[in-house]
Amino acid sequence: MEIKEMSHDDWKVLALTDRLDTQTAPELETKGLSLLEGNPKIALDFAELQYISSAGLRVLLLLAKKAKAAGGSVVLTGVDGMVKEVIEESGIDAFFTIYDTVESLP
Amino acid sequence: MNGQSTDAEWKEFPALLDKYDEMLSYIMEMAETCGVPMKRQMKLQLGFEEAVVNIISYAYLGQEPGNLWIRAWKQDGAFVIELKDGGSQFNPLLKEDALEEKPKSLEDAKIGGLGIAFMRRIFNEISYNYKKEDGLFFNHLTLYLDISA
Repeated sequence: MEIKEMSHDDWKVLALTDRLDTQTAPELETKGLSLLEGNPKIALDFAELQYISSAGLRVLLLLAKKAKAAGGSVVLTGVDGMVKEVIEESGIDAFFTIYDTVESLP
Repeated sequence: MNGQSTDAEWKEFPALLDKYDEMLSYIMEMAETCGVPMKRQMKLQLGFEEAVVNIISYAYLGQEPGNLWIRAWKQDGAFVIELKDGGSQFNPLLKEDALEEKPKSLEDAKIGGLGIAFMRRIFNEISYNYKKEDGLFFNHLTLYLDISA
């Protein structure tokens, strides 16, 4: 997995590629938590993400809880395919605003 | 599908997270050999990851780290994976289904148990037993993925 960091208006965007699994989830956790310290508005872009497991979902929830506590939020963009199916099946999609693309962030 | 007559050979791995990539490569090679269709391979990876990571994380908790043995074969239109460990007895089929009730709030949402729930939905059949071999007990978890359709 590769994590690219970008800015879009007042959003910090982390664009993920390939796989968010047991082996790569800790990297997102570290990066996301450190980013939240400076800016509680984070968008995770999954347009290039092919695979997610419960280890990835755990980090999404953790980041969302931390952001909420800091008065911000974590939103998702580009959610599709297997990643979309898994997020919806888990029921945690209810706690994330999902936008089609990074460009459509408010 | 429950007959476990196979001459498939066990492959031994240390039950460690940093060995997970090797386990995944092995099972995906076997899936390729056994003709698991591309469209089922992503879900197979998810079910396999959840089953294996659960064993790696909990089987040998509080004990000396041990091994995890994996074998796979094709049987009656199914791709079959059998996982074996010598850790604490644990039947994942007795766990509550974490997907039965969706979390009501972000604060309530927990990921514990979700991996096992995914595993149970992905495989068409799962069997568990705890049996003695050469004087030692082992957990056996057998996962059947229908590849006939």
